Amino acid sequence: MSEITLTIDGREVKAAKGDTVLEAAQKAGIEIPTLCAHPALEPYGACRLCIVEIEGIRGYPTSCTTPATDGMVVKTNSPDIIALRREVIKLMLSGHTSPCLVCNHRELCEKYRPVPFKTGKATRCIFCSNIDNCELRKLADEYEINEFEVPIIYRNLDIERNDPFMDRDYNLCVLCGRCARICEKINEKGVIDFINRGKDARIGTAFNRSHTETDCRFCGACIDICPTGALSDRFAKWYGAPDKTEDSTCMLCPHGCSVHLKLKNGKVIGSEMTEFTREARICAVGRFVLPQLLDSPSRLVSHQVRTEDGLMKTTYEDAVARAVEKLGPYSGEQIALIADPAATREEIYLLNKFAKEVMKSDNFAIAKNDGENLVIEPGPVAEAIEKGEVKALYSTGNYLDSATLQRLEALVVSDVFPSETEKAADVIIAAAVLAETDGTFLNSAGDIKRLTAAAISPEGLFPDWRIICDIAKEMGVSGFDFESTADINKELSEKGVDYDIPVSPDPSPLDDVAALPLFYRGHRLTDIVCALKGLIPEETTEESTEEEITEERPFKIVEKVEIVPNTHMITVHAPVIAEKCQPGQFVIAMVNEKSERIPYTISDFDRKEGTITIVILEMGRSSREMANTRSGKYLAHLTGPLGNPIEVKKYGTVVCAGGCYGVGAILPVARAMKEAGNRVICIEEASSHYLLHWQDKLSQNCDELVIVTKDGSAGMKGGIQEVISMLVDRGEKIDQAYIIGCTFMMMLVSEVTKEHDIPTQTAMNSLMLDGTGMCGSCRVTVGKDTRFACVDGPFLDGLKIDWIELIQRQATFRKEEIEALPQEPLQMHNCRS
Amino acid sequence: MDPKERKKIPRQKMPEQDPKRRKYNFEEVPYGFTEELAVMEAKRCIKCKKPLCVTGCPVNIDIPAFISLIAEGKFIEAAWKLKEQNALPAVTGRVCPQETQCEIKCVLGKKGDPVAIGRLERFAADYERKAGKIKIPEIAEPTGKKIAIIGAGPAGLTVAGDLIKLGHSVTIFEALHEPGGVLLYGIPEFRLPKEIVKSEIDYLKKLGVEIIMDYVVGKARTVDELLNNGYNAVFIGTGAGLPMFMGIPGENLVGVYSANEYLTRSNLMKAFRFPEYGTAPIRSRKTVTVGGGNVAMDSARTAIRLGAESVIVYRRSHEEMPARDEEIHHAGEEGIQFKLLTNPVRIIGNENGRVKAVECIKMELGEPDASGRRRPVLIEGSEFIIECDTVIPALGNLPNPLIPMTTPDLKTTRWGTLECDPDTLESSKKAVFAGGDIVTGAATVISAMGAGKIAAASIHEYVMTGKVTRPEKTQSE
Repeated sequence: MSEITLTIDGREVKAAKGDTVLEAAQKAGIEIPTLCAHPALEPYGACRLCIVEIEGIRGYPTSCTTPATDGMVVKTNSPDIIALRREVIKLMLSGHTSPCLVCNHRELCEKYRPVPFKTGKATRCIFCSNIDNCELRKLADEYEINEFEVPIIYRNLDIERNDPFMDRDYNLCVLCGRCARICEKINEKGVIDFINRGKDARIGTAFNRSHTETDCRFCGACIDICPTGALSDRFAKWYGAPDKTEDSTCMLCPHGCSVHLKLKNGKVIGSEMTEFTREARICAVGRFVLPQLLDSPSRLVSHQVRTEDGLMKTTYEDAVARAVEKLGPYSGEQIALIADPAATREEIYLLNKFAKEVMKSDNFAIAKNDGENLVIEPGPVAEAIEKGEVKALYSTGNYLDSATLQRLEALVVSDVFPSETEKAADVIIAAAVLAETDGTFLNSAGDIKRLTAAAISPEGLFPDWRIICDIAKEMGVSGFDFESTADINKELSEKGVDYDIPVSPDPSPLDDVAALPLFYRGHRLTDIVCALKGLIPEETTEESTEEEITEERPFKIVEKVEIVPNTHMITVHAPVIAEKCQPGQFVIAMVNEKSERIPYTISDFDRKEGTITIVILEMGRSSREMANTRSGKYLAHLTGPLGNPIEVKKYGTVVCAGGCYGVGAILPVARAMKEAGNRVICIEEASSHYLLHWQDKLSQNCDELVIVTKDGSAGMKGGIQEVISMLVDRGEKIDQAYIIGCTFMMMLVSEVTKEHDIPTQTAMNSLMLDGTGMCGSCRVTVGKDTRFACVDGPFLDGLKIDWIELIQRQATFRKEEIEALPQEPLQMHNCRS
Repeated sequence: MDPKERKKIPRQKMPEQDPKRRKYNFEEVPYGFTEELAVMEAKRCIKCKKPLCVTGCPVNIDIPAFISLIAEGKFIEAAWKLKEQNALPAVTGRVCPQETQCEIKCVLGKKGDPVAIGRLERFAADYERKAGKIKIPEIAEPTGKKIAIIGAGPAGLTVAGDLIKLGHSVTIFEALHEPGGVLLYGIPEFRLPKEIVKSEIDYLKKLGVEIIMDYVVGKARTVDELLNNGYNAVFIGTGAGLPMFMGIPGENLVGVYSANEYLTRSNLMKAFRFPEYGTAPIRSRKTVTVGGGNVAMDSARTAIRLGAESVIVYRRSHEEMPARDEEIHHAGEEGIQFKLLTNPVRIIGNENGRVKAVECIKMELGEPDASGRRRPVLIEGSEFIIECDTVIPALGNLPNPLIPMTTPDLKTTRWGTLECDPDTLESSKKAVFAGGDIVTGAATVISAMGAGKIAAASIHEYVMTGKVTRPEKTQSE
């Protein structure tokens, strides 16, 4: 290939003939911003971020599509180009909701709220699971975008949650086309593409079908290449950016694909293809099931031995000793060993060696996953047990039916999930597996692939090779003193390992979801990773166990609407509560019998109709359950009215300010204050104009309504605190303030009202269980005292609250809140229960 | 069998789960007597002419009668006999402190071991439930009187059981989403399976008791509103549900949970089955439970089942621990470490406001205090640190003030308990009665049930005659 020379930003740069200007610059270490361009994709020229100036060429060509030529003179960062790029970024941001970027309080917000909220729709950066990795956000920061002049558009498309494993929120899409292009590249015939035209243009499937109804194989490439949070992996999204990545091998089928593991705190949060090529593609099981298997709540994490009392948990050492005790008396034809095909070569070698040298037995079998059915090969093991010839079994999974297993005199299992086998086992050793172990894997192509022990296994668990070594050593046998899989591999290489190259599945799971591997160690993967059922046609039919309620029950949902993105209004028939409730009080709701008890401020009530209304922000499992209810359904439980009403009297001028779900909650406060003869100023805060709601209701109940948005897209730019300063500056004497919204907002506002000596009541949204003073979970430090938000509040003196402590207390269950989020598609919700 | 032979039979041991196994599960610890063991144990009763055991029973169970039915193999009949006096025998058979009530009075106890009355009670109640032969007793003709009971805990359930049989219409108002009160949210599954609580409550429902959940009296309706809306009498059994904290620095750090919260998450909200259930469990590496009562034992034993290393810190010595011996013994067997004569002085947090340790000080016992127990005194300079990530104050509870606060003419003591006539359990307000922890301060399930029986009798008399007479004291002790 001949070399060319060009000048970029005054530097002479060498490039290959055929390189684009972008490639030439990148080779020379000169950075040109890109978004639609990706090393794995052909140049596309859609985003126009990579524009440059080239002498002799008119206008501003995109460097990704312009071939570099000898002697070319290129400028990448002239003031004109930078100005143009800023405009390009602003235009993208106008359709990609990101008020956080221009918020006056961003720095403090990121300090006090370091992790994003687990909302349904990402209407701002702090609500977006991709905040750590967003390429657009990085560009906006790099180009110092701190105000928007262009209108901010939120398309308010429904978030698509009906497919297994993926959430798709096209409100965040910037139409870079990476997903569609990578889909075409990897699957030959792309499943997704641009649909519609002009301002309605978006990415979608043909005829807007669900992905399960298309040829989509759920390889995850579209998610992994998306520069924004538009496409996300439902399981991994809220864990944030990985802190470590490792290449390894997926053993879940004989293909043994290479995978690129993403880890956080030792836990696998992603398993992606190692490069975006057709050859490197992986299947849905490799991409999505592998991480969720290791993290399954049903995982065996302790060793057990059978006693008179049944199975009893024990230490690893004891389990090994008991295994030796159980297996010791048997040898030769009396004992059999079964290995899983998803085992490393080292493990298979060791098990085989153990069988032959220690147990003097030829009964060593590798189970075989034959698509739907699980077959043991050689089959005679089961037969021999039936006949009573085999009396003891060492098994690495759940392969035989319980009737057969019951005939055994001794059964030792090393396993990962509970099963029928467990019921018959004398000893169960919980094993560290898959991404928790290293070694090599012989795949169906005859290649020897390497595994990396990237993940941290649950405490006290060891991989199968170590378990076998320890059992052999406990038996006093030599030849099992291996310290690592490398040691085993050395011996294995010398002696050779005696098993057949596994047969490649046909059709391949890479090409057909109907051929996905469905077993691991004899356990049905759909039992462990529920969302996988969405890909298995016959298993999706049993969904929707929701029974129609015919009998009269309390707490019927009269109305349920999504007022603005993520914010839902729910009106419930609850005459007892409606009759008694007063402004400032709250209710505790449970959507179903397994729900958390969650407090919600009463936003409105109708004594005549016997209804109360709550406004909620979808921000985690429980509020999602609430957001997914529908008119005509019922809440399982609703208790109230709880907490103390506000003190309604004539103060003079009262400010009622609300943000997010608090907008609804200030309505009854404003109304009562107005009725008591106060001059009422309502302040409604929202991140952006499309989140404003209930202005009409508020205006009817106040003397003045001030709108404030974080991005300045409507009303004042800033937050409630800036409005209060403005009011004070214009000479308003504020006698009392009521503030409802997130804790962070109330903290910032209270700092300002404190400066101006404005008595401030803030509504606590602490964690609660009973709401009647019993649990003390809602403790808040107010001055020198501890107050319970449920019985002393919910309104407490904002000027005296220890806000930092409160913010920390609210993060008590941050990790659990992520785990609690449902992984299954929306229509299969709660199938794990 | 003559008394001499009977006396030769040793007290039968109740089989129980091996501590090594049970420390990992929430299944009940004792398995209960088998039929053989129950009959053998029942035969030990010498049927005293003046059975002292009955005088020790807060609900006056005819103890010799039900025991002799067991001895005859009439297990179902024994259960029915129990139910004449006690609506919840499967519960009390498990959680009553028999060793300080009926069994301590047993004549056999003077020279040996008393009859295992509690275990026999439990056996009979379980037998009836498992056999599915629940007998619905005769219900008196409807009186047309309506009684409101506030709180579906042991006191309220007992009142309901007694009054429904007398023909009254009974409605229980419960603030939580399931009935049972402390039986449900407080006492763990391994000590009192929730299935048993449920079946005892189902029994009351079968008798006709109406239970309205999610209903906070004091908020949704006041006591006065109940009385003005057709209820002839109100019983307040709202218990002692306001947790006490230590008042030491660091108590609002993340990782400090009241025993109420710790236990409620696990018991009522089933957080140990998270994420199937939505309520998050408290996952700890090491918990320090502060206190020496049954609730402290329950918390520490729950902690070990949730996989934590579990330590109990108590400021007095073993002798003074208010917990039942059996509970302390079980806790020890399960590997809970006791740091006695030790008191926390400060909880230390990390930069994220989460607990990382608790600083304690050693104590020694001084002169007896008002409770008769020797007062713990600080040993200056003996401070030391226990590293941990969870601290559970289990120091007792105060009565919930919700109802007194919203019922102006209801008198309270300075401890926040309701002032009631101790013999009739009438409150200072007409037609209002109260019993259980709301009157006595935090006590036991059975004392609340005993109070329930007294209150039920008073309420019956009150609604039928308009007055309440003090019972004559038949026995002086």
